[in-house]
Amino acid sequence: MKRPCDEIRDVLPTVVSGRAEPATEQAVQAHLAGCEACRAEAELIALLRRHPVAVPNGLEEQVLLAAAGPRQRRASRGFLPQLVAVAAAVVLTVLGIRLVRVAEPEPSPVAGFMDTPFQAFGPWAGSGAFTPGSVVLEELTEEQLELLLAEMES
Amino acid sequence: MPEEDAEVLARARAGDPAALEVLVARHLSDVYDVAARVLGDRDLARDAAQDAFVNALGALDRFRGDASFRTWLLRIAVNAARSLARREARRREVSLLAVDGLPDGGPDPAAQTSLRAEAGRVEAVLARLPEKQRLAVTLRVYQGLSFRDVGEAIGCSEGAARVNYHHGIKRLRELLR
Repeated sequence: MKRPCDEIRDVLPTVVSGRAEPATEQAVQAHLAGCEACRAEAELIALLRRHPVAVPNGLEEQVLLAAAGPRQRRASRGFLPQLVAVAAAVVLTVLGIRLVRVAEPEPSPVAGFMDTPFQAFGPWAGSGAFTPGSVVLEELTEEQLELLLAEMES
Repeated sequence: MPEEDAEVLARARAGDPAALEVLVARHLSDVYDVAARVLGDRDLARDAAQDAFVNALGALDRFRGDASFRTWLLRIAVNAARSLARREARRREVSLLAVDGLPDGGPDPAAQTSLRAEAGRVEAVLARLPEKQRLAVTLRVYQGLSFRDVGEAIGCSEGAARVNYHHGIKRLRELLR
């Protein structure tokens, strides 16, 4: 069975912090008026409570950033494959445009080369497939090659 | 009237970032206080507080509501601080909390000096308590947890939490005499 002082000391933090029920507070105050030891303990608790640890500046923002990180990564995990697919599509499209530009028989000052039908070049002609490579370049004269390179650079 | 934790939790679980901000703003000082008392080091306490929130907010789905959200969060803070203390393997004989961030004593320089000296003394004697006693005192005096919740947070029974608290208070009285 608890002694009165034990019961009082159990609830002292609640009373000192002002969170106790009025009846509890009255009972404790009445006890403290006649008990020096419990009054000393109440003063000690009041002393401790005067010195909470202050939260440093910037910690709230730091915590929010850190807490948001994993959640954002989890949220974006399902989106990543779509992102990769889109990026791959963009790369392929750009490559395709470049290949078509090289292969298309556009009007060009390179006489005799660009006027020649595209299908006439190489063993892959007419197959429907396009494999850029040395077959085309090997059939160019040195002059045609220089002109083509100059046009590509411009 | 402030929104109850349960309502904020429901919004946080649904992915509302504003709800996370509310939870952090509401509980950061308590979490930081506990971490600082366990570690006795301001920088480590920052890291522990951050770890505690990252762990807790990342595990909201596992919060069952057996205890209050605050008690659950403080238990995670205690664990984060202990884990960090083990990793750092630092001694806490001398508190490094004093000097910065202490309460303002008002415009009177003498009062400020006195308050700072008192705060430094309090921190120093708290740091000398064994960890469980220090935690029991911190969670009871500063956080207002019941002995049952103190036990839950530090991993012992309600009775052991009460004993640790009273031993800690007795030791503090001796040290501050």
